[in-house]
Amino acid sequence: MQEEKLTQSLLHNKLLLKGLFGAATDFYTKDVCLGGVRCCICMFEGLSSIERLWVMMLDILSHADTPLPQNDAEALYRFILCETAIPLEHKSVLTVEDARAQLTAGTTLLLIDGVDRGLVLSTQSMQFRSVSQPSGEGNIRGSREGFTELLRVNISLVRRLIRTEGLMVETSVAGARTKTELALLYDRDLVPPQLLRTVKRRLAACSLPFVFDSGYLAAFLQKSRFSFFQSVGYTERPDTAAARICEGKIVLLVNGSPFAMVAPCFFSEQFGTMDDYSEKAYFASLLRVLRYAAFFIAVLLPGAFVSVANFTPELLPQEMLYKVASAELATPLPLFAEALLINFLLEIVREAGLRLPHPIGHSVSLVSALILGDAAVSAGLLSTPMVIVSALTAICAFVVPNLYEPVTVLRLLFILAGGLLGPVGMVALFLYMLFNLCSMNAFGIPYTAPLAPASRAFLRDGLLRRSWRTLAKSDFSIRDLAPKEGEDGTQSD
Amino acid sequence: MKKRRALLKLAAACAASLALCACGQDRSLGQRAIVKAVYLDESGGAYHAGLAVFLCEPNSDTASVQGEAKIYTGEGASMDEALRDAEQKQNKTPFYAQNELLFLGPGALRRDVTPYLAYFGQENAARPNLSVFAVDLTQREFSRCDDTITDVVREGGRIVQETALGAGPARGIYELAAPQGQRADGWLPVLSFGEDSEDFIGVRELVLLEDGRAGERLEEEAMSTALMLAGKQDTVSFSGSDGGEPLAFTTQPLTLTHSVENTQEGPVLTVRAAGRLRSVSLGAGELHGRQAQQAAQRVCRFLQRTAEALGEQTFARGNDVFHHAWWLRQLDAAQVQAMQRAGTLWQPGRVQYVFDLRVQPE
Amino acid sequence: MGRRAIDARGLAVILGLTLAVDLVIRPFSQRNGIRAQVFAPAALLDGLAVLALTAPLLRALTPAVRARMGAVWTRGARCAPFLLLFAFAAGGAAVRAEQFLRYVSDAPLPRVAVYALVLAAAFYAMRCGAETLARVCGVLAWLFGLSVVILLASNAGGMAIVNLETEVFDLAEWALTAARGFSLPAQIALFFWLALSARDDLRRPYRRTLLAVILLAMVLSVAAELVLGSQAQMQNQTVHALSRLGGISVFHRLDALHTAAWLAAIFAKACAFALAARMAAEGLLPREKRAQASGWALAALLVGVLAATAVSDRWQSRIESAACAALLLALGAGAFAAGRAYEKTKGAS
Repeated sequence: MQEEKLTQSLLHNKLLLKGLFGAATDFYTKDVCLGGVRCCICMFEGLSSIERLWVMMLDILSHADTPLPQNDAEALYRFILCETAIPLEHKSVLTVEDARAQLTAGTTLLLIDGVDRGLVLSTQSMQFRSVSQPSGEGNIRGSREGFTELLRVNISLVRRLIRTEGLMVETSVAGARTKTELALLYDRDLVPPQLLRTVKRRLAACSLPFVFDSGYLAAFLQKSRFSFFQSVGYTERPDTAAARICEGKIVLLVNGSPFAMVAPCFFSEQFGTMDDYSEKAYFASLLRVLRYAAFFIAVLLPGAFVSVANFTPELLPQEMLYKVASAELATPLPLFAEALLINFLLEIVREAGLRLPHPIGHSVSLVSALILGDAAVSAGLLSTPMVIVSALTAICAFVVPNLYEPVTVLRLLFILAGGLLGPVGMVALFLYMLFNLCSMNAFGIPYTAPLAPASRAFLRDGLLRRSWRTLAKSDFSIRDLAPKEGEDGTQSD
Repeated sequence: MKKRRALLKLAAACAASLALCACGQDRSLGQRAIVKAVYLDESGGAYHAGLAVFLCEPNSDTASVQGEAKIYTGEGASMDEALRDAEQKQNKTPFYAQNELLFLGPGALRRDVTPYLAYFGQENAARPNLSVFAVDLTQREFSRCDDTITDVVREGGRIVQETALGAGPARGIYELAAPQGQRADGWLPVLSFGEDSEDFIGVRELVLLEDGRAGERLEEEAMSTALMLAGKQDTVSFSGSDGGEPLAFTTQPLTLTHSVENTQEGPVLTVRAAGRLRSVSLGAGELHGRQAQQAAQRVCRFLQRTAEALGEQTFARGNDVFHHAWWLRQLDAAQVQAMQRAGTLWQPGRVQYVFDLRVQPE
Repeated sequence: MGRRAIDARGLAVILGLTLAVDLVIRPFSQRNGIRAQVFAPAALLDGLAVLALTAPLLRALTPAVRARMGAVWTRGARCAPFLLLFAFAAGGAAVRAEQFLRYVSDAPLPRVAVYALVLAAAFYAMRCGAETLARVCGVLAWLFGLSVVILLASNAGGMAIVNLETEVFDLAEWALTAARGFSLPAQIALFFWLALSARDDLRRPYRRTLLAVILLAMVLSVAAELVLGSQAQMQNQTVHALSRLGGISVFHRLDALHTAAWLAAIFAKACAFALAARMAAEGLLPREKRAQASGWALAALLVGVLAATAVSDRWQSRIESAACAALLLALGAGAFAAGRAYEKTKGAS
């Protein structure tokens, strides 16, 4: 039915649309008569503005010097299309599917009896969250704007930052039930053609019933083999998205989601922020090293602590050894089980804090601090060293929020490995994680670039950041990280 | 089907690993007895062992936790037996990996320390590098030191740490181990302590080892000079009398150089210590200016005599504790080896000591 | 499964790491027993001998020759001896890792658990491909290097020049030591086997890597003697003994950290041989069974572990050397033939 074309019969077209949307109470239709020709206005209340519509209608009627054609449907159609100043979409609606797309985008459809096309008036007036500070990715300097849920607004935010002709915006639709609009943004001069083709091909092949967030599409854009890490990234900030586009990457915006997806995304990028480029190079480098250290602490520390305490306690300094030993004697659970329990509890606290309504959100911190942190230790249920280790781990995990999911899972695995198998288990799991990381390619480029394989970019803007004078001497794009021509490359992605 | 097989394989591997990993074994740190010092002695044909074990009280809030030491003793026909006997006097698994102190009692020093050094020098997962101290306490006296052993271990650890930083008398077991078939030579620091908390705890003298047995003791300026010549410290200080007249001085870090030249009597090593005096006094107060310069000359002569006396106690007896023969070999290894075989190497005149100390400018 | 191409730098990193780990986790049946004054120059001589012996093969394996040989030497019965050598070497690495762990641990894990972990890591590595292995070895090489630096720095305070054993230099002793210590480790055959898939120049990375490993051997030998004196010659695991001595600040026993870094490196060594074994198995198997190459290679690795447990370190080294020499000769002959054929084709065209 949806490919069915509109006919010249107004009644038939109205019935088609009513049949499509059923008895939806927000679907508004109004019969009008323009120039003696019967017409019908169709819109969705809430998406379109009736006031705007009537202003436009009055405009049609108010031209005394060029009166409306009378009793001629085609003439009326051409008059409204070409001789009025009404903002119209450039394409008229020919099919029911087009009509659906336009009406759900917030426009108003003007059907004319005797014309098998519909005019689309730009009367969008939807309620949406205004541009505000992003919920995460906080920065000291730089823009405070974040993406919103409306695709057009998001596109405009990026367009404002990249004002060259190279910025391309291609829209498409995903989700069989929701027909969610997507937009691919890239710089046509910088993006590797192969990357663009791959992304488009995979998007076209994706079959989802609904799409409410860019994250739904991640699984389709990446290779199916399991990995803890993702070769796509997310950002809520237009400046970050623009920066990625200027590196030759592709940004995918999804209507209804304030999170833009960036493809490809590399491991080292998780440790960089926009602030790095506003700060002095030495300080930015220090912060990056700090973030790397935080990541490894978050992943390895609890497991390493359990492994060291159980298998190689000689590594602990003397005073610490006594404290750990006496704590272990005092608590009912072995260190390994205690580590699992505390980390599990921390995740529960975090999840509770995330889902609770704001008015009672402070209760979470009260409960976790007093009960978990203080009362449990005083009661001898948990030991101070383990609580401190877990708290430090949790804080370190928040330093790299983009990697929170893999960090959480890997941390639990390392606790299991360290507690059950000791240093050998830690080493084996570390190797597994390393192989997993290094085997990933992000759309044909090593995910661990420029760290492994090591390249000059490692010290240029990878682990450390050189000053802008050095960075400005040569442009960087992701083509610099791709395997050189002539090599067969590695696993295809 | 493929996925199920893969999952089954993974589950089997995990189950096997878990079953075989001996994860049921109790490795709890709380169940280990942390040994911080080992004492060994021998008398009457038996070995006497003592273990200073640090115990911790259960306390989940660890702010005020401190290890408290307790001494367990044991006897046996061999070192192994004696140590095992001591270990079994308490019910936890001994944990030696943080043990840094080995005390050798008077019996061991009298007979031969070589077997003790060989035993503890074995590579073994549980025995790290030990620092060896001579103690003048028998096992019975040692066992009565429960009240002071915590401070003793702390002081011992501090001395070991100081030595690691370049200024301390501790001797690692690897420094003392003799080549196979030979007995240990060298010197050991003597750690003084007693059962009374008023007793002095520390190192005030060194004991020379010759053929594995304890010999002469070095105190005060002899000890200070010996440590400086051995490279264990780079300053010398003394407060006492020289030829009936009071003398006190402290040097700044001294530079020790070795130079060898060939003479008619063969190679001669000159050991030269150069540097500045931080302070010098002849009893009446710290000296300055011309008086200090004159006193510096006296200090140099004093130290030279001390070093020469040390040389007669050690090098002249074939006990090359300061590795002077190594320096001599750098000039002509073949000649030195021949002299060693002929017994003509170990002569007092073979090594000369020069002290060049100046006063700090005003 | 990954395609095989790998760059020469990645190959060199794999070679360097797998050789370096053999310097710190030494065979148990071979006590060092040689003073640094003799060991260091003997190691240099042995290393230069390996360079000299492999130089003709290196010269012959131009990118064009490798391209021709790659298609021939990685398919068919020619892969069988490579599979055997790599499986045996991987098994040897697993056995040595387990022996080392048992030696250094207070309460070691059961042998089977260690073998299982090594084989699990090796199996995963097989499926990841050569380029991934090169990246992993790159990261592990940094960790290994950091471990060596910390080892030397933490022991710097305990080094005394008078601990060096200096005797009259005896040329015969030096030559004999070099001759006795000479071996062709299987890592050399691994390098050349993987190099058949590489397309860039091998010579410089290969030479630099071998020279770096020789330098490391000399440095470790001298450093061990500077700290341990004559005791360095008596140690089963000299470098591990060093790691137990050095400390930084309040951390007096850093050997657990060093051991972890070295374990990771020896695991990587097993993974490298496993990957090469999988490639050889893939070449041996008929086309329809190539998807099962990892399984067959794993079976070969199990046999390799069993074989390695049955022979002593000394015999293991001899078997590896002999097999490596034979395979390198065969590769050399193949390279020579391929080179001539290439010249003929080039001349004709």
